[in-house]
Formats: sequence, structure tokens, C-alpha cells
Amino acid sequence: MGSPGELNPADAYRRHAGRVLSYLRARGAAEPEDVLGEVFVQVARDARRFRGHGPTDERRWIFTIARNRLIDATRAAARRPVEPRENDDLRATPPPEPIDPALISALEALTDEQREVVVLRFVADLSLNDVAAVTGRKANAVKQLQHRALAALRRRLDPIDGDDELDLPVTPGDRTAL
Amino acid sequence: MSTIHPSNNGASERNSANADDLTGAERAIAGRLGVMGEASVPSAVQSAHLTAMAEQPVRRAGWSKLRVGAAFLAGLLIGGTGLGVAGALPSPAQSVAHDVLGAVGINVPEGTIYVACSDDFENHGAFVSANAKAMNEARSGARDADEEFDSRGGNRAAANDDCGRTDGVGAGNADNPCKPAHAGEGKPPWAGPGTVEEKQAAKDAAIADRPAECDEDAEAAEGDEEG
Repeated sequence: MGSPGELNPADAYRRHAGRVLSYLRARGAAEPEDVLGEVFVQVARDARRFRGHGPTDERRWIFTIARNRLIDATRAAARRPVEPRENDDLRATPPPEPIDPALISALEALTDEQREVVVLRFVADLSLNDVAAVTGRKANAVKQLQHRALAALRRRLDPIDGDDELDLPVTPGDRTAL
Repeated sequence: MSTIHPSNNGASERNSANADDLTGAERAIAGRLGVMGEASVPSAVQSAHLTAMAEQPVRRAGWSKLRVGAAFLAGLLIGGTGLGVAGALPSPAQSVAHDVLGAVGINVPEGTIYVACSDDFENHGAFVSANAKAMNEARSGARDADEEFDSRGGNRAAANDDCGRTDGVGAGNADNPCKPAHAGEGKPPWAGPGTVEEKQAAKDAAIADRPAECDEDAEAAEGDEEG
């Protein structure tokens, strides 16, 4: 990864596919493997448009694509009637190995904004600034959403110790969380 | 069967660094979330994805903008040509379409002329006026009969026609012998600097150059007005 635009899609897949898949699963994608494929097909198609430098820019670019494809997939799934699938070869794969049912359940209880931030931040392992860039928010807003998301997760996962977070003041940017 | 695991890339170190401003409990949750991120892609899925990626044509940077621009221009051309052939453009545009597309062999109507040209028209203006009158009558007739009527381009077409024009079109009355010789060439000789005598001499010379019948016509016209 030297000059801008030099991105090998297959190498990028090997570097990032695992975390992108984890991100999609944690965000609740109905068919995370399918969306993962769409993400990297777009990466392969648009590799020459990549204008970043180094793995950080590459990761941010790929997660931006992943976020957009996830939004598309969610909208498409909402419009589409539920049908039994004929070709389930790929779906016959074993479930994701780092299963943490309690954590997944707690994530589902978050608002979309909180879940997006906390998953990009810790599952996808992006920095605060990268999360801000991917989601189009300011870094301070991301930090606040992260704080509230972690507090909510803590209350869910550890209700006794997490009670001290219950009386947090409500700020305008976090109204959707309530 | 191999599976792809997320490369470390210092991930655990980054997560630790990210978690610097977190409390102990939050750090533990962040750690659990980080473990979730270490999923692997099943080899069958990986193989299908890499194959699909290899089959993708690589898009050149900026190519889509070029395609959008080309599609827009093509749309304008096709749409404009279609409207022109149908005679549905506003009259100035219809006239331009008639000229431009006619040059490449596409027959585009310029507009309808409602009167036949003949020597009865004293000049071009009379022809245009007669055409406008005939067009209005045709429009009234169509309205009475509840028929559609499209007069677009009619006046423009008549204006562009040569009916009633003479060779002297645009030259005013330069060929009129009753006009002074300087007509159409700016100020008369007696205008501008000079003495009163010089100016009067120039004016007299201009009058003297006029044929006698011009003075007779002028006098007769004055007599008619007084009568």
C-alpha cells in the first residue's frame, strides 16, 4: 500500500473480511454472508477509485461500503416477502464461532445509532474518528453515543453494578435512544 | 478447508488503546465486543466471494461521470430531435431544428404557412400579416369544431419565407429617387459644424438634385391634406 489507489481486492478480503462479517452479524444483517459478498464485489469493482493511504484508510473505506450495503440490504429485505430459499449450500455453514448470546441480546436492545457506533468501534475496531467518518457524525457525538451504548450494555449484562448509570441526563443528540 | 481469520493488525493493541478512557466495566464489555470481531469466514463462502470478485470488471475512476454526461447529451439529442420532427418545439427552436437537422437529412417541419404566396401582396409584411390572419381564422374554425389546432411556428415560418421580399429589402428607401443622395449614410451635409450660409447652401444643393416630380408629388400630398 504505497501510493493512493493501489488496493488488491483479494488481499483486502483476507485482511478485512472476518471483521466485516462480524460487523454485519452484530448489526443484525439477515444474510451476513451475502452482504459480505456484495461488499467485496464492490471493493473489487471500485478498487481503482480508492484514494487512501495505508491500512487505516483502507479499513475505513471498506467499512463505509459495508455500512451502505447493509443499509441497502435492510431496505431490500423490508420490501421483499419472506420466501424459503432454494440454494442453501452456503448457509449450511456452522454458526459464527465467537458466540456471545448475552452480548448479542444486549446489542439488540440498543438503539440503531448506539449499536452502529459501538459495533463499528469495538467489533470492527475503528477509531473514534473513523467511526465519525463512516457514519457522518462528529467525533464528540460518536463518543457520547459510545458512552451511552456501553452504559446500556453494562446495565443489561451486569444489572446490579450497572444501576448507577440509570439516571444519566438526556441530551438532545440521544433522544432516539429513549 | 481453510478459513480466513481477521488479521491481527495490532487489533488487540488498538482496542486496548481505544479503551483508555473507559471504566473497568466498560473496558470488559469492549473486550467482549472485540472478541466478537474475530469471526472467520467459512472457506466455501470465501471461495465463492473471491470468485465473484475476480469476475468483476474494474471500474475506471471518473468513468461513471463520463457515462452520465454522455447519457444526458444523448437524451437531449434524441429528445430534441423527436420533438423537432413532431413539430412540437417552440417556434424559434423549431426553426433552428429545421435548419440544423435539415442539414443532416432529417426532415423537420418549420411551421405551417396558411396563405399562398402571390403578387397580390404589396410587400413581405403584407404576406406575414395575411398569414397571421388566416391562421387565426383557422384556429377559430378548429375551436368551433372542437378540433385540436397547433399553430406553433406558423408566424415564424411566414416571417422566414421570402414571399413579398424585394431586392431592396433592408436598404430602406435608398432606391427612392425622391430621397436625398445621402439617405442611409448618416448625417446630412448641412448638419454639424459650419456657418449658417454653408449649411443653407448644402441644403439647397440637395433640394436642387431631387427630380422635379418629387416636389410635385409633395405639393399634391399637401394639397390633399388641406382639402
